[in-house]
Amino acid sequence: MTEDGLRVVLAEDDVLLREGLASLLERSGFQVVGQAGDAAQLLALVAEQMPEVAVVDIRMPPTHTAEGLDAARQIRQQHPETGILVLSAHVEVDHAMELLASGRGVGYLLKSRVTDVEEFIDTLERIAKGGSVVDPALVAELVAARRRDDPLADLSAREREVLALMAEGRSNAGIAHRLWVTEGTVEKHVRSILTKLTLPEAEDDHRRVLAVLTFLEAR
Amino acid sequence: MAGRWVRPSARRWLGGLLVSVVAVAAVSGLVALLEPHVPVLSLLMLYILVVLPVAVVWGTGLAAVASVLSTAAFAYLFLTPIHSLQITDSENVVALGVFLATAAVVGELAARSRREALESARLSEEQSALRRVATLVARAGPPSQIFEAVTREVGLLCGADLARMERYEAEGMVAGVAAWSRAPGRPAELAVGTRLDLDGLSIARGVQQTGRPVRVDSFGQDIGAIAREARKVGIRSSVGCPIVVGGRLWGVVAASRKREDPFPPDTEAQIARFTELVATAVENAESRAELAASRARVVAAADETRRRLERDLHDGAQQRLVSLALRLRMAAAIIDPDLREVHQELAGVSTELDEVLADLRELSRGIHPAILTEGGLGPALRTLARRCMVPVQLQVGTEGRLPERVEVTAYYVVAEALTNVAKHANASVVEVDVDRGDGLVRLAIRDDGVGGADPARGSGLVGLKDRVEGTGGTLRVDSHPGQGTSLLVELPLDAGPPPDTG
Repeated sequence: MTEDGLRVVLAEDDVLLREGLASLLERSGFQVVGQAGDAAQLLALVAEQMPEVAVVDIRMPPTHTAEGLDAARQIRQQHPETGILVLSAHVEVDHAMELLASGRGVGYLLKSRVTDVEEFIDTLERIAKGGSVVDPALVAELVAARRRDDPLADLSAREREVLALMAEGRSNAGIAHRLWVTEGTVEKHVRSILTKLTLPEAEDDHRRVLAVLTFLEAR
Repeated sequence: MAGRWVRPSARRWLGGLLVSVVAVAAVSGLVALLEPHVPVLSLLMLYILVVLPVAVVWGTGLAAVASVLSTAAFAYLFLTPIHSLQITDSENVVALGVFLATAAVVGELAARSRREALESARLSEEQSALRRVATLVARAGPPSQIFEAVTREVGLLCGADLARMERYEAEGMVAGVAAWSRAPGRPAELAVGTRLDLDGLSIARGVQQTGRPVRVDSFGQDIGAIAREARKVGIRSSVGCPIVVGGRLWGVVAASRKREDPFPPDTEAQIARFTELVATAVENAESRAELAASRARVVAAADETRRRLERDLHDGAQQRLVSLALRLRMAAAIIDPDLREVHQELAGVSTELDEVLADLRELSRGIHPAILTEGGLGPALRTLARRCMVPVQLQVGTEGRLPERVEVTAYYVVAEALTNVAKHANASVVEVDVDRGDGLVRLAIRDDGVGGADPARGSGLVGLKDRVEGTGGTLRVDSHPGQGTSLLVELPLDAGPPPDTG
């Protein structure tokens, strides 16, 4: 039985970009069940269509500041099973933390990241399954921050790589896939990292990414 | 105290009279002593010793009385027939006449010289007062200080009991800006800040209507608010002069008395000299305020432009590039996978597009960081701290949002400071502290680097100083070679320069 693609609602006020995204999604096997140009329309569509994922531009009318975040919060409250992917021209740590804190199945990506089609599809699928996704550029900024007596200095280069991928919200399997190693190797690295940074073992990937990001931000 | 030359009162006259009598008696005693040895008429001149001091201290009138007394005493005591005022000898008449004439002249000269000395002292006092006020004006202190000084000097110089300065406001009201009272310890009536209606009789209304100095000798039964106040306080007469700033009537200075006798005629002219100084002070303060407001506007306009630029970049170029990159990807998806070279080419273009987008993101952040508008100072500074090449210890003690002008200025101060530290300081850590109190936001950026920063040399610091001062703040740099650098900035929370233009 063929499975219909994931049902997705798009909220983006730039018409050209919205159509491009819709095309990309359809071409990649998703079902675009609704397109919105502002937050109000988005909320109406989500209520009506009950999509599995909502893709939302953070900047929308009327003020073009962070309407997307407010909409995400509302969707979280009213439809907690809907996954949300927030797209932004700039990634900000505070936005990421706010989104992640609201629950599982949430993602925060640079808009330009959508052009890497495989990654984009992977991201949407991860979110639909309840995982969390953080843009690599954001993680890189957090990891690269200079600190005196940096706890990250205790990690090996490989461990830093693994840490970054953990912070992006990937599962051990996903990390293994990216680094071309076995899942077992990844698990070893993860345990070593958690010990060195005195981070607790997390029950699931979402809590893990939250813990790692919180650690990186606060150190 | 060299106050105004006061006309002799009844008590003074009596005192003068008493002294004259005593002096005449004394000199008569002296004459009696010398009489056996010298022709008596020549001793008549000794009575000048009475006339001179009396003229100097009590004036011409009493000097004349003293002369007559002296003449009478002499005639009675020493001229034949003794113990009688009859004068028989024509030689004696001439002598007495000459004495009276001389006494008159000498007395008048003495009195005049005394008057002139007093006048000169008064003028010199006035000049000193004017100079004191002019110094205050030149020092560009707060106008309220100058208003108080002028009011006090005018009160003292005019011999008034009360003096006050008022400013005209819209709708026929007048507001007190300074007050002085001769009676110490009592708060000056018609106090600073009170606003009164200009109905009915008052100096303020008179000056406003005529634009010229005005004198009121009695507030009688007038029902106006100011007249009632005046009567309540016991004011009999007042003199007031207009203060004209830049050709328009700004306010009035008035001196008032509780005594019966009115102010001397030149009081208006005296006060007028001070009002000119007040006008200068007000003009200076207004200029400074205008300049500061103008600077603030320039800075705000520049910031607004940057925000717009960033928005346009985002909505225009950045969005379009993302769309184009998408289209490119989709085009690549349509093409036959065997056309390797085409795919390579398309992939190359895609990569470059990504890089352009990354550059645009950086550029945009440099023009105006969106996070500052969206999240406020805390998130924006944390981002700056993360991206700085030198470890930053950041403490943000303000909660919630601040006025936009303050947030933008604070952000650019920290951004510029961190850039400087990364470039020049060779530091191992930078401490950035932000906190708020006393209506100010305080920023402290301290590094442990090489020090020796000089605002005069680095253009970055000068630009910062302009920006900070344009919003009414202050910037201080402490940087000694080998001891690191501290940048201390204070930004006022309420808009613009202090409105104390009086």
